Amino acid sequence: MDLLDNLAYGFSVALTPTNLFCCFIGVFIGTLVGVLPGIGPVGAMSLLLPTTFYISPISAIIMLSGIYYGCMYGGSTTSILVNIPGEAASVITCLDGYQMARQGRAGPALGIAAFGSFIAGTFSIAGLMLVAPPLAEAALKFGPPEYFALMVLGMTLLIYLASGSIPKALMMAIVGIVLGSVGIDATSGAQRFTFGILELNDGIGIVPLVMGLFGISEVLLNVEQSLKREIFETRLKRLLPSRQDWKESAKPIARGSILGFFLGILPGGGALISSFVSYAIEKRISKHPEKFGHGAIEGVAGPESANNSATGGAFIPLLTLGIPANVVMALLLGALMIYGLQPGPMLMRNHPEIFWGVVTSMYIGNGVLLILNLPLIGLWVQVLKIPYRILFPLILIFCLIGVYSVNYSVTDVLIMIVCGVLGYLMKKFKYEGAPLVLAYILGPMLEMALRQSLTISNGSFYIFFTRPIAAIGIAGALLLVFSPLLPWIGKKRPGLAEAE
Amino acid sequence: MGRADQYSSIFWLIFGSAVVYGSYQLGLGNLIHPGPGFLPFWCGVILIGLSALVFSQGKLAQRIEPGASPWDLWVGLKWPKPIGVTIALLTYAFTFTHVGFIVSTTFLLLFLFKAIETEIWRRAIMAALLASIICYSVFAVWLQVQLPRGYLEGLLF
Repeated sequence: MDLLDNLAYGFSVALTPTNLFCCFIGVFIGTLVGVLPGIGPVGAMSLLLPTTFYISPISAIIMLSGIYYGCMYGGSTTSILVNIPGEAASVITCLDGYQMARQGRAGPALGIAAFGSFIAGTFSIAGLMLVAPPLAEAALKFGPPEYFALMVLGMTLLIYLASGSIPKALMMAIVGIVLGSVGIDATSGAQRFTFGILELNDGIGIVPLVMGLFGISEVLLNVEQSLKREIFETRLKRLLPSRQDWKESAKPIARGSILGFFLGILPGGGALISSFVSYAIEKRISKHPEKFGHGAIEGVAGPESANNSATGGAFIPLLTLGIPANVVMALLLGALMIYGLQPGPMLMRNHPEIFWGVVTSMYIGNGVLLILNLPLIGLWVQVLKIPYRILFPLILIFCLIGVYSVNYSVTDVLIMIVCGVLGYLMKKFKYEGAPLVLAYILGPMLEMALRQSLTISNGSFYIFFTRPIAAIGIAGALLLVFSPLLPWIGKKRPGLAEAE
Repeated sequence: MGRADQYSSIFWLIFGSAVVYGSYQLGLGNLIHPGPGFLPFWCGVILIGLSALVFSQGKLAQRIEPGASPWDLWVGLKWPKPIGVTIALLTYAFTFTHVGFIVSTTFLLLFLFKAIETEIWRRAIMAALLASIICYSVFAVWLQVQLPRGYLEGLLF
């Protein structure tokens, strides 16, 4: 009964005209960003973050969340029609989606991707509603050692899953913690690494950092190469999948939904990893594995469902523990903090309108996406035809205005440009930005939890091993860090790196 | 990536050393009451260790595949373009509060359309002007973002 009451309350929040409008804008922009290769959800969210300061926190979070799951929908369109993933999580859809388009079945491919995404998104929201409240209750009993251990585990999982080189990913996480420590120390009041620059007293802003690392760097990388997009010219007819298509896709959608939800909860890959795992499972259990890569509809239905389901799952650690599962959630965490809200177990109790409003808006947003995506396919195809030489100057201008408007500070603009160049070089030299951003966000919380734990234990590190949850977290993190030394675990990693 | 890894690891080694030095200056405190430099100090130490590891991995890779240069990462690419964009952005950042949003944005866009890409003059000027005015209308007029008018715009408008 409580659940139904909460749902009704959530809908009363999400269905207000302002929130409904923000939800629509969010999923629309998300789809647009997903369709356009070269700008991902992180870039788009950081770009729009400053504009959300003029609306209420609930409307802002609804819009930002909409961008995230809208992006997953949009990404499939580019994969199917252009063979270029609009979003990282849609990489695997290129394999069979594009082949279906070449065989004149672009319509059913786009249709099943949209329907599968809707079903999976709905499933993950239901899971989120059921899992999050009891988890938040349990999290109320957590102390600083448990939080420290969970944050370390979260970061380590991201490092383990994110890239090919563990030492490089670990280095980026360390750099992220150092960057997160810039500014006035909350405990002692000392200025750390500010070099006398007044604007750095509050630390390096998340908006310039993320926009630089993910927005500017992407533009710098793209302008040095000639991006040629060949849209597969085909008449889009019969978007609704046939009965046979549904028969072949039903089980992959169901499996993808369940798999994506649980993989989404785990810090690390989320949508990306779940889409790859779903594809691998579908291929393995298929009676006709030879069809995969040549236009098998299961190869579109499974991964597209999994990556959408993962978005709902990713909200669980953020909303219940205050620990982001991936870089997009890290950005949402940063946004919540900017609005003066503390994500974690108390969020549901102190601000139920945020939790239930966002959850129900996601349900509404999924419906909007289904209505939006199929009839507007023609528009998205036209968007794909915008040449990059027109697009990139506009992206740069939006980044500049976005960063400047946060604090009206030229220093922030300069930080963004420096981070952009750094991000460009990092990508060139194969260093990943995601562990850096996650560690940057978690760094101050991690440091606080570490200091409090040490004070409680009179300076003994045993506190992390004598409390069960903390011990499990630390042991898990250590196992992952040293896993390359264990051949039976280490040999599974190259597959992930190649998949990426 | 052998030689490239060696170069990049040297950069992070220097960065880690600077962090260690800076954190030590801040004060490490003790285990019961860790000081402001405690966590960054150990982060710096780990970063130095990891940099050394990546350096040695790079050296090993260099032995297996000798001759690879970090400049290979830019072979076949239009590398002056990112440099041009960066210089344009820096110039914009240092001047736009003085010159004003519309004028500086128009010049930046014109540079990007004309020098970085190869639009024809008329189209480049039209697009730059139009985009600047639309951006100003949306952000400054509609969303009430206080974009700088600058000395020049103070004289013009």
